[in-house]
Amino acid sequence: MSSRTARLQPSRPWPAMPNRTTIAAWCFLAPSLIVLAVFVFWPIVYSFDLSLHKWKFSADAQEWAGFANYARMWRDARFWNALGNTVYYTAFTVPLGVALPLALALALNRAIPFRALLRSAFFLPVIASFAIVALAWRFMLDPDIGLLAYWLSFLGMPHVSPLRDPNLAMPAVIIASLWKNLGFNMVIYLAGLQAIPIVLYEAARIDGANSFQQFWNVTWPQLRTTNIFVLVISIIGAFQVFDPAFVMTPGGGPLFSTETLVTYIYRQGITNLNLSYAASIGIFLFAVVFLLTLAQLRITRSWED
Amino acid sequence: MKRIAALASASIVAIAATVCGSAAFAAPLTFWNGFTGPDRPTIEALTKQWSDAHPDTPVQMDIEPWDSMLQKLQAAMASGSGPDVVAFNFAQLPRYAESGFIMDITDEVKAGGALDPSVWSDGLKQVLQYNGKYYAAPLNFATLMMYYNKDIFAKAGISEPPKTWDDWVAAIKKTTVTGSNSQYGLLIPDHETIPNWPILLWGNGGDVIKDGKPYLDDAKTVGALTLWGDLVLNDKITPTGLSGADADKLFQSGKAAMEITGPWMTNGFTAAKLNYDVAPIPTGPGGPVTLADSIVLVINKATKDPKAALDFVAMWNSKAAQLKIANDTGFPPLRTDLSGSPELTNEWAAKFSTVVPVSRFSLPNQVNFAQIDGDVFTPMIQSITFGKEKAAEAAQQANDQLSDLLNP
Repeated sequence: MSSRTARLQPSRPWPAMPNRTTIAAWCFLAPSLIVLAVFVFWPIVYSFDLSLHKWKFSADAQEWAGFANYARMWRDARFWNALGNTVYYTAFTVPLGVALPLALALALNRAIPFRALLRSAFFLPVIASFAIVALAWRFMLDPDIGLLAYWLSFLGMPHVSPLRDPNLAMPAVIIASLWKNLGFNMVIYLAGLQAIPIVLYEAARIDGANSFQQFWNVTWPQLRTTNIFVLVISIIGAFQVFDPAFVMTPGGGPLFSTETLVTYIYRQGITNLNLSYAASIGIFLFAVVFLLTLAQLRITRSWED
Repeated sequence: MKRIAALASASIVAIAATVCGSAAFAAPLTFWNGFTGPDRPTIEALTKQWSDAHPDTPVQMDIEPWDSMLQKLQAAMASGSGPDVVAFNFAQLPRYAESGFIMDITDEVKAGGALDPSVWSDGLKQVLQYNGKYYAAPLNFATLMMYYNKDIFAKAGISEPPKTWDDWVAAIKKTTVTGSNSQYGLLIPDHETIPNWPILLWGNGGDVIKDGKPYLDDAKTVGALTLWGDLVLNDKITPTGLSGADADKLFQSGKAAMEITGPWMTNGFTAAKLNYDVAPIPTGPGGPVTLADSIVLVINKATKDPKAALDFVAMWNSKAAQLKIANDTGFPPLRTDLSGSPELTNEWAAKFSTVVPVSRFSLPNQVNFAQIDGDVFTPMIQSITFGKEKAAEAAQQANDQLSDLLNP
């Protein structure tokens, strides 16, 4: 409620001292701006420059290549495969990564036994390093010594080896990622749920709303800003997926079925030393994520109006 | 109080003098490598031995996994820094030699002193060179052999390891069991592994590259791909999409009859109390052959002490060092004059050294080794073994890609 009341107050006009305040503002911004400039903006500019050259390991001056690296992407089947895999991954992890944590948050927002324990349990994988989580999943899914194979053997089912199967490798990576990230979005939703004023539910109940109607008319609209945040962060994260695919299925997985844009960038840049080509894919990814984020903000802003 | 202060300042001066003094007089030689496995103690012991004998230039060793070491190395070398000496797989050499980051040691090798090339096999000599010049000295040498599970062989009624491809295929089929209690005849890993498939191509007289030209569309190469691809796809002699580490694990758990790998696995298999032995890889129509591999030592061109670096590199080539490596780790000695030596007391080293004469390096002198292996060869093998394409089609397509890579 406090944020609402704050917004209702008339904004105080700033004193007419633009110079001093501007200087102060820049001073406050400087530390973050410098860090961002050195570690974010400059690398982006440099990568773009790199993508326009034909970088060679030891050359003193790098040969100009124009947009040849971008033209190469167009013809490169491995690039399209990696893009397709990334979209596949995003198409499943984002909707499920929103729906499941929301359901969990709704369940754990009630007074149920062992609530704190359950919340911690679901959040625990978030703290663990993805490399370790991916290794654990790799072990679980191992067809010869893994847990899954062991359980399936009791049911008399044949051995499955998801990580060695071109059709099952990506679903396995998706499931592992969902499990790992579930807790993060759950906590965000819990915070969102707790910020919803109780009076709204009381009013709804007085009006005779059932629990679905309460969810649809109170909870869901009230979670709008949370949804925007979760969606934007999830899509950006999904497009940049690296660790689970890289650790669970090294080398791009069977028939490159788990090779994503970022693992392909790694492959081209670090393994093959095609730094310029890797940079051009990086710039492409940057553009995609940038446009997606812009579009999302545009769409979600139109919801607000 | 004054006395205490004086004492304290005196001791600070003394400490400072010692610290600065040692830094000024002993300039350490930096050495990067990736020996994180069971051979680490041997590498450390030999390095320490050399450091003790050279107190002015003790070696400061940095051991971390090969992958991360190589990533760091690229950046370090490109920025003109980096260690004085590096050990890496021979496949890395062409790239670094071409870039001009590592020292040409042709004169030292030709002089025939501590780095006498006459004790190296022809294959080893080839991979130590780039464009006719020596850029590296060997640290170790490995050959691959066929490991077989004696219990599985006995149960299948196979009295001795197969010697020809016909007997081999029969033994593989006999020991392959499909269904819920599956067992594999021969594990053939296809990625993240010491190369297995090239041996099968060579065994049939085929190759990946021959005389600098793509050779994947050759009839004998396609013949090998067809034969073994069919055994994988239809007879299920191995799981598909297997990595080298997965294959080792499977063999160690007793679920496979045979595996082709190097001497580094003997420690683990013995510790797991597996009843196994090794035999030469059965001979195909193309004659007896196996894969050779070597970790080589290169010197940073920017080193401040090339003499000490050369001396350190040469140490690994000595009879004493090679005997210690062989007897500690089971690797065959890289010196041909130690083959069959009575001082070679490690039984595995003795066995693996018997196949040295028929061993070959995969893709020697290829600057684009990583691309050829990871972007052309592995996808071709997977395409065949997953049944996506027929061997001839996949081979033709890979041959075209290879041709582009070799003639950019």
